[in-house]
Amino acid sequence: MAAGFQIEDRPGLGYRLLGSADRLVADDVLARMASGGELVREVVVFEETDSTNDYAARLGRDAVAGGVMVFAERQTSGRGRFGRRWDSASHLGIWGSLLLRPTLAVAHWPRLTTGTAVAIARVLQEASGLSTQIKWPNDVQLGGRKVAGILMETGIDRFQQPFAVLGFGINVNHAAGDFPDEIAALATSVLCASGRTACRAALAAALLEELERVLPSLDAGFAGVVAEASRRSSLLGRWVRLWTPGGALEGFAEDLDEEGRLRLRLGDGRIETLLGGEVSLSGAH
Amino acid sequence: MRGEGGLDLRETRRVASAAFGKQESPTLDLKDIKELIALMRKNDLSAFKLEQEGFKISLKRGNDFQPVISTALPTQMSVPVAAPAAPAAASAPAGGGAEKLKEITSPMVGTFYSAPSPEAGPFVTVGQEVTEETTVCILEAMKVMNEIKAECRGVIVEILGQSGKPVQFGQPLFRLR
Repeated sequence: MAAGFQIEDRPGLGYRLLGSADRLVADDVLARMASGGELVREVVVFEETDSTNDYAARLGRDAVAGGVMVFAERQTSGRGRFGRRWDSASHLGIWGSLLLRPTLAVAHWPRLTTGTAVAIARVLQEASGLSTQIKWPNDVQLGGRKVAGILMETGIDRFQQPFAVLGFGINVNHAAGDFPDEIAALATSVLCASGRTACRAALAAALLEELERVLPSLDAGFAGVVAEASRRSSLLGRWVRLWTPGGALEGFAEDLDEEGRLRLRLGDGRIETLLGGEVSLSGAH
Repeated sequence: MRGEGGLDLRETRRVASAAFGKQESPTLDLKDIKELIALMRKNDLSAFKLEQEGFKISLKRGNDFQPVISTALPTQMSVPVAAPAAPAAASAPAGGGAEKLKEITSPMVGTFYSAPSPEAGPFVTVGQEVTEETTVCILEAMKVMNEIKAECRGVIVEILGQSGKPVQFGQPLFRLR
């Protein structure tokens, strides 16, 4: 049963594919993509790796061209920002990192976070039949709980060429009991939120197609992407508390500016434009 | 991080580019420079750099908030040199004697991190030799972690960036010998 496919051997008649356990198989993902080739030229699936972001970054440093999508069924050290552990349960989610060499001016690369959040939100809305929200700037939520996260990293290869690694983790077929206790109250999956089991290969292919649609529009069409991120935002129009490098801030989440930054109206009426921070919604639930 | 003054930073660039667009040989007159300094002070920027073919200006503010200006103009260009408001001593730190130090400045507005994770050791330490390829820090903006390379060779003599603190475009992060 290679790669989880059940194949019936019928003497004299050949073979018949009976179905498969839910496995990610590189050729399967590629074959499911109607578009293809422009952004993603190669798909790699590991049964296990340390971290798909680390693997894709190693390719980047080795001057490999952009367009390599690295998935892993299991990450031994999957992580969020600053090495915070990311629980990547085997075969339940989609854990992947896309090596990119964006043509976008480097100063605009932070737009990739907003673009990817929008792409994931669209695909998960389709898969779950529920509306998805974006918790600015890099989490996607279903019913107020985190269903997906994004970790993007950039670097420079030995020819001084910059690359970006677009990492994402999506909780797909987790049952409630599959989450570790410490995140159980904050996390959800497509299955938990909607009761629907999703085919991960189809979801992965749909996401890559969506990224092929969204990422090229981050240049001239970014205003439209920001508008969608704003519509989907779970923060805008609410009083929020943020932990930023400059200290804790509280204010009214006014809107997103033209670069996708959050504009926060403070108690004294001043507007702070924020590039990041840990957000909590205070007193609004 | 607070991206305060984002608009004004653009204003700073606008003033500079407007001045550059005035005539064929790019130049800044005293008024332009004063305007840039005022904008730097308003935005609490410690450094401003602009380089175009045949023209380079870098402005730095010292600890006493007296702007220090150093301009480097190629000799073949007949550019009226604005009288600097202070001696061009910006690149030599106070008490540094005659030694010429190199600086790694921030290529962006973001949050400075000296180590890949809170538990890990720093990318570089004082006294360490670095090459163009050495990763010296991470700058974060919009949850994008940007690895920053030294892009020059030398020995780290001072680490100016504070881990977890915001940095502005052009702000010196490291000094090298």
